[in-house]
Amino acid sequence: MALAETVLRKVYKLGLLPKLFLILPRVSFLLALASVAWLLMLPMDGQFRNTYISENALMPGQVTSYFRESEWNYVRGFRSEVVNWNFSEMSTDNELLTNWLQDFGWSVSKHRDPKTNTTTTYAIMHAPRGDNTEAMVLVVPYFTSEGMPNKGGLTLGPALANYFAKMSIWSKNLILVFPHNGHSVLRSWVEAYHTTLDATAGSIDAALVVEYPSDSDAFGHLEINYEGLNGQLPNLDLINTVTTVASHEGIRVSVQGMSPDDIDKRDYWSRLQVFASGILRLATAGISSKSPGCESFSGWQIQAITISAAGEKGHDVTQFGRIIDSSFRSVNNLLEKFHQSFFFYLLMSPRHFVSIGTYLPAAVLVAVSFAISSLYSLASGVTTPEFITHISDVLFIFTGIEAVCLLLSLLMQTIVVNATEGYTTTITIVYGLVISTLVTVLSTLAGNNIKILSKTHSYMLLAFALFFIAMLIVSMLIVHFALAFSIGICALPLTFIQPLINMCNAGNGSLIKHKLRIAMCLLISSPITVVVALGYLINDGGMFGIANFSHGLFVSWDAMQSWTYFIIALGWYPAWSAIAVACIFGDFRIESVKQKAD
Amino acid sequence: MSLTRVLVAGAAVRFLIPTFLPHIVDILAGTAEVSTPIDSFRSLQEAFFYLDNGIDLYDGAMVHHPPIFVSLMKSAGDLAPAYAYIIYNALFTLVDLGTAYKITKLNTWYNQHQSLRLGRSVEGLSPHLLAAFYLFNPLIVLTNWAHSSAIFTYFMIVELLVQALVDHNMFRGAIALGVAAYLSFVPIYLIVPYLALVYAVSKPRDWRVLILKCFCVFFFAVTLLVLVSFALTALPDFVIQCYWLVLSFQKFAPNLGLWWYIFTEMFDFFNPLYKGIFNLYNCVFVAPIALRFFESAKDKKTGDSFLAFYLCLLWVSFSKSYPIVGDLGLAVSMLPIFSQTVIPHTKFLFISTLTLIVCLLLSPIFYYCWIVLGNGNSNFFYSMSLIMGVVYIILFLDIIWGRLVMDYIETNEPKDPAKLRLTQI
Amino acid sequence: MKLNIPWLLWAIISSVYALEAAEAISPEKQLSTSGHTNNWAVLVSTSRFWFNYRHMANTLSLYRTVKRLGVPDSQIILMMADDIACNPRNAFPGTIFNNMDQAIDLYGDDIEVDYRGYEVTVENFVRLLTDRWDENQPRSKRLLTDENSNVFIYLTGHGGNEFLKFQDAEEIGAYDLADTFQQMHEKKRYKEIFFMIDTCQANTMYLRIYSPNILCVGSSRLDESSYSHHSDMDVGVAVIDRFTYYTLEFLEKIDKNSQTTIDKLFEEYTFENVHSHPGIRTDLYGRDPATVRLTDFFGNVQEVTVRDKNELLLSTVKSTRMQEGQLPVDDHEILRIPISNKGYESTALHQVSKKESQIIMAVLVAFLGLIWAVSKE
Repeated sequence: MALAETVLRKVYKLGLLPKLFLILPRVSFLLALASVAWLLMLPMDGQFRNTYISENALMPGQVTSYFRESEWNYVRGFRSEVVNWNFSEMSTDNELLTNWLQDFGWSVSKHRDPKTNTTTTYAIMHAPRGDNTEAMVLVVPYFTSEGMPNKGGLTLGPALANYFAKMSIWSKNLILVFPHNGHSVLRSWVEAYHTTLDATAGSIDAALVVEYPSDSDAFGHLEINYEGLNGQLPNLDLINTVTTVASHEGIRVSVQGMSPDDIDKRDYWSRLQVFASGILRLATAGISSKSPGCESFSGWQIQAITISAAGEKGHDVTQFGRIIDSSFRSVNNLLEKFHQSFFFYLLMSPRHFVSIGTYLPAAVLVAVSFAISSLYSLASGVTTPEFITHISDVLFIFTGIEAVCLLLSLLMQTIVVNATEGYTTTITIVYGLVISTLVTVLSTLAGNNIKILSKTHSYMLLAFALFFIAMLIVSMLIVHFALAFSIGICALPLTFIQPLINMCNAGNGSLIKHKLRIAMCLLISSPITVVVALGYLINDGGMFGIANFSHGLFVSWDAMQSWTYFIIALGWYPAWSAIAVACIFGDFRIESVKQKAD
Repeated sequence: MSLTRVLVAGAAVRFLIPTFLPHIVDILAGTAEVSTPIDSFRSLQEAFFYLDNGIDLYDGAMVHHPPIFVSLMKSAGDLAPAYAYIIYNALFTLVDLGTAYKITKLNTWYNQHQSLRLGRSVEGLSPHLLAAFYLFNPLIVLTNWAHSSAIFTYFMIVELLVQALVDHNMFRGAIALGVAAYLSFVPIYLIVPYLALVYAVSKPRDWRVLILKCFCVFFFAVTLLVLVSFALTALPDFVIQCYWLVLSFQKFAPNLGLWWYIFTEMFDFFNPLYKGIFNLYNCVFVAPIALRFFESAKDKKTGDSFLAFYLCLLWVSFSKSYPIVGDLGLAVSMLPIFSQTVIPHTKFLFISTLTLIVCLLLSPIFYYCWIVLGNGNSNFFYSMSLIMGVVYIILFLDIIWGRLVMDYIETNEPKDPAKLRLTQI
Repeated sequence: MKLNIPWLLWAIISSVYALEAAEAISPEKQLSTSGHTNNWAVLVSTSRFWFNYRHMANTLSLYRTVKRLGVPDSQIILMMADDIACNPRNAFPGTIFNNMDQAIDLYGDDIEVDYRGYEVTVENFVRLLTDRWDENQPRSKRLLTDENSNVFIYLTGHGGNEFLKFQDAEEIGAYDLADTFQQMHEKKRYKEIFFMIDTCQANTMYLRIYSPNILCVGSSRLDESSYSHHSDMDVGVAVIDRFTYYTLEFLEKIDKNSQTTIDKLFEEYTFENVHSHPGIRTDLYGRDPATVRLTDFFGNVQEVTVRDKNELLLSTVKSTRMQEGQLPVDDHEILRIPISNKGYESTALHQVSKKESQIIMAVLVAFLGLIWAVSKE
């Protein structure tokens, strides 16, 4: 306290406050720049760490897997059946598969999902000598995330079931799940497993989702997907385990869809690419319908990853089976859930990562940048007594905006979820939203006639909206870094508005140019613009991509319980709207500022 | 008129929302920030079940509410068992309205009192603002929705001040303090600043009459309550479950306090030391604060026994074993009473408000990370407990410093108080 | 470095001795005798869980060896979690191997675990060594040594600088261990101790010992890990630690009547073998290791002198014991605790019915109200 007192005295003595006030916008912008620079620095040598197995009990790759020679014949036998299947028909009712599994001694059950109207077959093998309280899950979706029939996967599924049943080393139960896809169908199974299903096998420690679309014996390398919903990630030990096991088999591993040529590159750019792609994928997890499956397990303390076979030649199908077998044996060695290692990390490559302490400052800097801008707005046109008397009005206005957003978001979500033609409805809604955004942005240019809000109210509304974004970022710092940071960066132009308004007031430069700039800032920081742009750019989108992405966003809560939609609709959008309202209806008169300065 | 409107609005928020969304009570009663084992509505309902089934209240160490409180609440619920939850909603609403109304009275009294002492008119905030500060304080609203029994303690604390100051009836005040101490133990430490306050405000300062009698009334009130409790349960268990539990930190439930973590993460053999020190910490500053801000009869410009009581309340809620957000909420809601005396001289209110907002945002999220998602750990949540402690300390020091600055200004009458910069040496 | 000097010195001395031995016609001359009359072994694996398979295998290997060399089960105290053989993860249920060739099933023999599961605690270990038990402790679980006992103590598990973890829950420090040995010495509970420890930073564990006649060997020095020797790819875990592996390899060549001296064992402990720097501490030990037979500790070969029994002395002992009432308690006297099968029973002095409670409450409220009304200064 005494130190704070001393600092305060110094600040008063030197008259720092007015000086500080003038450079606040620059400080805010510099902090935002520093935040991006911080992240750009992380893939440099020496800033990241090598992954390591933290849990002694795992011992990956220390055991011989006998999923070879004789099992190969089983694999070929099953495949000769599987290639003839009609996958879309078989996925709901597969008598043959059920019989196979029952023959191997697994107890087969079914789960009917009323939402998607599909039936998921799953089989449980109770560990003969285990204590029957924990389980591992192997998921073989009928269709991969790319929509291809998972032929190799459905071959390996029964072959491994047969092989696992012959072993007596299991301390955890095994569950095999065959959902139609890894998206909402699997999600509904996971939810049902923890709530309504009768045939269960204890708490699930880990889950592997397997994608092997080709029907050939050979594959090139292993791809790992690991992003979960709402910023959750599987324990890093699970990824390490699979990576280690694969390297023991001599198989190369890629993350974030690195092409096989890039896997062995160890340079800054390849690391940055993986890193950036990781943030983007984590921020948009649960939205794309090309869900890799592992995200369906989020929220139940289950560590899940998806492994897919990619490439044409190099390794054979039993090696893929051996990776699954050996990884399961490792998890089987665990005494309890994964608890060592990291839950918050970002990968640079399968073997390099940064942990939360290293990358968190980036988001903190963005949050502080918004907070400082908010302070600047406040200091630009509001005095303390004004602040106290008007704060309740501003809260009331903002709550009103928030309430409208809540109603609209619920309405749009309900319409899209219940629409028979989901995509058409989505496109209509997106058109509506884009037009409304454009109208809003254009009306800031229109003129100064409509002044509904008083001067104090306008400044405070702007300040409060910026503060709201800062708090939004702060609250998501740890739980969902990727989304917090992305929103922070996308909404950053909102912090330029107050300095631009002040420039207008001061009469520097032409008024219309400043107005155009304010309009531009509003346009590019709008969540609607960002969603449309993202849909257009990622997952080889185009116009169809926009529809896909927006549709995914609207149904993501209903299908996957992803919060992203509500964070955007109730966090980012109201703040943006409040600033837009302040810009359109607000009164930022120049005289008052000048008088104050005098 | 305006005050009535505020009261009606506050009542609507408290009564309508839990009536139409009954789940909210249950969810909040299970939230670590607004409900602890000693004041949780869940354990009160558990107690009702025990009463219905003839089980000893304190068997199984699940109930930590005092027996008279349980019986009274049960009787209230039994008036219309099918609508019990509405009765409780109404009851908690009424109690909170009472507290808010009494705070406005305290505000009026305090400003009059200060005007007399300082010899100039001190204009406080208007009553409806004071009521609004209490009724729309989110911390208090949450505590009320959670139906935490602390709401009754808050009422009793405010009531005892009103009795002693506004109604000039310090014996009733002592009884009210006894009831507050009976309800949640920790207010027992407030007897010290209470006696100082009573002594300071009464016209003829006769310590034998005031202090001794007052203390005796307090003592007999507590004794009576304890004896009746014993008669009700026929077992001394309630002393252990309601009061010893508070002293001995037996329930390791995570809360916003500073101490639970120490007991869960440290070696057991340190526990007796910690228990001793934390309890000492809880009460040891009460007397010094009461003395330092005592209103001396001769020097009318300095000292503020009411503030001393307030500071003790703040300190005791900061260092108690099972704090909830409502404890800070009560303190924050009473802060505007000092709007013309201390607050103009405080410097860190803005910072402590921001810190509090961040803490309140993050603590449920970290709790969720730790308990539900399993990707965080107890350190996450405890860090927020620490931040909460920081908020308390900043507030506490800020108020003390503010009052000292004011004392300086009143006694030395500098020419331009606005430019005055005092510092500690 | 300190550790290394005695070791080096000792290496020089032993090589000199070896030269002399080669020259000498009868090496027996150089053998010294300890004069002990009985041999004991305390074998402890302080870790638990499947991935610590090798510690259990280490301990059981030593158990097998001392038993093979003649120490009876009644004189071996075996402490280990014993959660490996019947672990569901064990691909060969009921077995523990110390080599990937799976030639010897260490668990297959008749083994007697004295302290198992959660009984492997620091407290039990210290109580065992110092023999401080209540009277109910069975004799089979006690270390009944006297001043003529040679004790071999073997510890393995996870250690650090001057501590050894016991089952993830607690740890014993080097000072605790040293004090324990001192107490054993004061209570005349040993003639000589051979203390062997195979953990990370093992040498730090014997640094603080200050009691006489203790020979110490550790597997690695400060800030050094001890390593496992090899894994069995079918069991899926490492099966034995390097230090113990080479100890055993040497001991396998020894039989009951062997005259091999203990320095020959020490010669096995090279960095090339163990991959860490084993330490040997001889300063407390009265004899020169080069003259000490391995069987002084690992075998059960003693010189026994039979004298005439002093009947008079025996009878006095008996009579004093009778007077002190230390006769065994009558076995038939079993305490029976009654178990109630009634339902819930309240412990309250009296039961307050709902009506009564309401009456009490009403009286209380009325009374309080009265006081409230009356109390008007």
